[in-house]
Amino acid sequence: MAQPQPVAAPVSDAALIAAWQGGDEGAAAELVRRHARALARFLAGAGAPEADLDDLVQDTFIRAFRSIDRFRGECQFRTWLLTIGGNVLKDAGRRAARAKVIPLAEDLASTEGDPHAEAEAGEAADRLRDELGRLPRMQREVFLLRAQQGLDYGEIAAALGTTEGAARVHYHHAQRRLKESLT
Amino acid sequence: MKQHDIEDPQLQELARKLGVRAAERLDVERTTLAVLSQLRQPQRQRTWLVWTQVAWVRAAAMVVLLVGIGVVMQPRAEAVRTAWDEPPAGAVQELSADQLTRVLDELDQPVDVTVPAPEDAGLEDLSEPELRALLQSLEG
Repeated sequence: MAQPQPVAAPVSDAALIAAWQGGDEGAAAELVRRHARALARFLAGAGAPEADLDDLVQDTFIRAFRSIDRFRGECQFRTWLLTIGGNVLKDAGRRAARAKVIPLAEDLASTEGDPHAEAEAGEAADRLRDELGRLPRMQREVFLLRAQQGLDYGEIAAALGTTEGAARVHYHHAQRRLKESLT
Repeated sequence: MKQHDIEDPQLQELARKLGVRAAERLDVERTTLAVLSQLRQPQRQRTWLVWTQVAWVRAAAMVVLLVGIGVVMQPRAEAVRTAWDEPPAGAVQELSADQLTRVLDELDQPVDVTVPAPEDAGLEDLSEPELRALLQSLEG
């Protein structure tokens, strides 16, 4: 009787990163597959227009892989990736402003993407997204990392280069403003 | 609805749903292939492009700087030249070959300056009448 094959433990992000640094393209592909949706969700929550989401996700991964040597492992790879995504989104917003296309805030306020999806989304969610776009970047990112991604303050602080206490304060301010906007 | 009616868990629930639909629509396999394709492209080309742009900007800045320095320094250089009081170039050009030769010969002549010999400088070498005459001339 054949012995059951042991279930292979999932390869850690750290091992995949090491493999990618060693030239293993498959490891990079696996990292993209693992984290692309979470990154897209974070970017969409932070105000990325849906039409640009795919490009922003790609740019974030490219930037992350090309600067992987700067990843010190102080936080999870995903958290680090999300903060890079925040930078990519900010740069895209600047470029859009320079090109005098629709500013990010207006785009956030508009009904982005397909109308059917918008109709499905609740009014509160729309207002939350609008108000998130008006928050200072730090408050917005801390709020999303905490409330949307479920990260703890220590992890958020490490990723954003701040203290745990400061991260709590940012979250508190963001939450207060968002609650006010939703009442 | 009263202020703060939406409690923290509700806000978190709303936040968790943010971007879910957009993320679901993302074609992860296509994104993966696109990322790998971009990673395969040599970064050198992009770096070279950026470097070239930076080099051009620097060169342009240097030219502007040099022109600026030239504009600022030109009046000063003119003033220095005037103060030097050089003979006008035209006067030299108007001289004949003979005149030029004579001028050059004069320039070659040793300058007629009587430099006192070291022995002339000491009073001790003067005779008594000479000293007396010198004192008288000073009193004079």
